[in-house]
Amino acid sequence: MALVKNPPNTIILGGGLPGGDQAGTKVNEYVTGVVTRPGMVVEMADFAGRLKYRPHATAGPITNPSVAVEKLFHNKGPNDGDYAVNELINVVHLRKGSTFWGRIAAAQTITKADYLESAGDGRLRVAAGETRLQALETLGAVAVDTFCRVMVL
Amino acid sequence: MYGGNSVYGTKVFRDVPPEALVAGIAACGGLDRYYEFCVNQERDRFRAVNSPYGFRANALFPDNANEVIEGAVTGVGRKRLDIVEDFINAGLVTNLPNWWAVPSLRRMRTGEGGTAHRSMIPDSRGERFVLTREGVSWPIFCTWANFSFDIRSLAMGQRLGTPLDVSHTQEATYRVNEAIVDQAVNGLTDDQGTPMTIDGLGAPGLLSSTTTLSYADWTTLTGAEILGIVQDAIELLRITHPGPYRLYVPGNYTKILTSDYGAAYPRTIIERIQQLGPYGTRNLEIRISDSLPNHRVVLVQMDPQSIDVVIGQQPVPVSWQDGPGWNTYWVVLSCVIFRMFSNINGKYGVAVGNLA
Repeated sequence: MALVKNPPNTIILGGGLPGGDQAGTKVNEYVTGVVTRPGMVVEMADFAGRLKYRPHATAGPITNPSVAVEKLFHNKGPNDGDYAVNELINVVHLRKGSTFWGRIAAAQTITKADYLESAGDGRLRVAAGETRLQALETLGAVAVDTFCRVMVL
Repeated sequence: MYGGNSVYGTKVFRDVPPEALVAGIAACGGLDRYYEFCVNQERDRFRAVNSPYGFRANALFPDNANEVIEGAVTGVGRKRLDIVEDFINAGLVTNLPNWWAVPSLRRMRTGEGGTAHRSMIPDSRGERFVLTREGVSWPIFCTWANFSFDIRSLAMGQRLGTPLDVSHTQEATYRVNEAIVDQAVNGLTDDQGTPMTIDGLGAPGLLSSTTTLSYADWTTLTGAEILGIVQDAIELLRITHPGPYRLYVPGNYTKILTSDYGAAYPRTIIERIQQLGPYGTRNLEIRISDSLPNHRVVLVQMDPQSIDVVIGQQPVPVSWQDGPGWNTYWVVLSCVIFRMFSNINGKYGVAVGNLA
């Protein structure tokens, strides 16, 4: 009998020290310039001369995956609270081999081992070729913002 | 053996067998050239033997022996970080020793309600009332600065009597205190000065008050004009916040305020202003603060209804090492947060001045 795998309800799943800690470099010193949901892949951008994070805005492979994590200190889970514009955002720049719970874009069919790339809106979509992100589970056809376990290669 | 005369005067030769001496002279093409060769050879040998000790053949002492490095160090001149310390010294503090466990702190505020009645017997109908009540929350964030050094750099610093951890902890502590004062003056921002919230919560500073007053540059004004501006600021607050007050003025107004008031008053402008009052329990107090931007004057009602400072942790250095101990890491950590309160009608006990 296969083990039941419950939803993790948290964005950073594994990598580094036991418990998923040190899955990457934590950066909590910048605000977001665009409303950002936990689980979105993010990037830094210039907002009128100020560095801010934003949902990854260019569709295609992501060279250095970084993800917004949930506002755990404020009693919020991945689906409880988005980061508002100019809100301090918690981001982890992920290491190779770490895993996270990422948001999938609309109209996607996810199969284990699919390579994933940015859909241009902070969410992930199936890529045509090899990328740095790989799905660890089969979800089938999913609605937008369905979470998927993803590994960083 | 000693001997030999030449244009160079009496020379000293190494003690060599006569036949080797003659051969050497012949090989060099003359006695003087043989002498030069021997001196250079000695010099090179002496240099090679003594190079670990820094000796130079032509110098008496090791490298840089002519220079003494003082223990005293000239640092960069710093502005005083005074405003938050002032509030703490005035007792306007909320201690929060378990701040790690408190992501946000909420202060309730109530409105006014009820009315009194007059009758011969208090059994008339009267009128019930219920106070309005709401709250405002502040994020409990920490302010910190970090540095790290490898084991060899630390050892070198200790050997030289200039411990790297001490100097860097001092600097990091100053930066943390500077950031604490910056939040008290300018409100919560990222390190680029972008106003920010944490989970939707802000932490406004003194200059965020909506009770404002405009004026001309004080350096162009007379004592009487400056006095009038201060009185106008007090009038802005007096109805809802009756004092006592403290006036904070920026450093660029130091000269004008310490100038003579004029014929009507025999002392300086600042001394004249300090005679205003009493408001509440005392006269107006004045502080000149390096922490305020030029031309920004702030009048504060100095009581817990208007402002306080949440103290979870005064700046403290925390250090740890990586696994094998080759690197040591430090964080100077603090949780000190300025709060400014408005009443239920949105009125602050702080008035802020702006250049017109």
